[in-house]
Amino acid sequence: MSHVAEVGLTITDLDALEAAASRIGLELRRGQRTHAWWGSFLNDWSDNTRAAALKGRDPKTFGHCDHAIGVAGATPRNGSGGNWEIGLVARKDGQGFDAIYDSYGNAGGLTAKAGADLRTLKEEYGIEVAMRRLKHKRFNVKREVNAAGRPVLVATRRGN
Amino acid sequence: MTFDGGDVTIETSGFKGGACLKETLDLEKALGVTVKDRKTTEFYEKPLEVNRGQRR
Repeated sequence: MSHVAEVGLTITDLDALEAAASRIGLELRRGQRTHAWWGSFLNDWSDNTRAAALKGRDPKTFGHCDHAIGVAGATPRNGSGGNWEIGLVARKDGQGFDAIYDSYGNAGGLTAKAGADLRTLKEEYGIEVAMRRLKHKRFNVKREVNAAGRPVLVATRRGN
Repeated sequence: MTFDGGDVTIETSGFKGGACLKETLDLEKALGVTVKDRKTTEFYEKPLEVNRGQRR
């Protein structure tokens, strides 16, 4: 199976991504030029909102990347039962990286850490970027959880 | 700021005029997402006068 998905996430801050990933048991592998996935394109997925092949990605490039993210301590391996990874691929417009991965099944063990559709990773990355930006702007920032269980950042101007 | 997957909602208070929009747009750019912002009534108030003579 090869359900290679391009998720709605543009990475512009690798340091923030590294910190976010480590909080949820993932690790950023800088400079790793391949990422583990099913290993071959089977053209067996037709979700035009997520399928990377239907969003203009050449299937020949699947498995290639500029950086990778995997489960911390897990040795990456292609194919069924392997530890798959997320590939970060430089955008053509030079504005950071797109995240691409094989979402089939439990995404080779990624779903448990990164969440379905990389939801948890997206959340943690957003939180880390916002915290860094707000602290740089001299806000005090506190992380909380709301009644719905969603993470919340409360920022107040220093001196208030 | 509330995070829900890739969605971000920002609720602000204490900003006058469009200052909250500036802060929100800056975060939006950094996050690479369109923030679902929620303005407070203070958005419609005049910004505080700044004594520029005190700037260095």
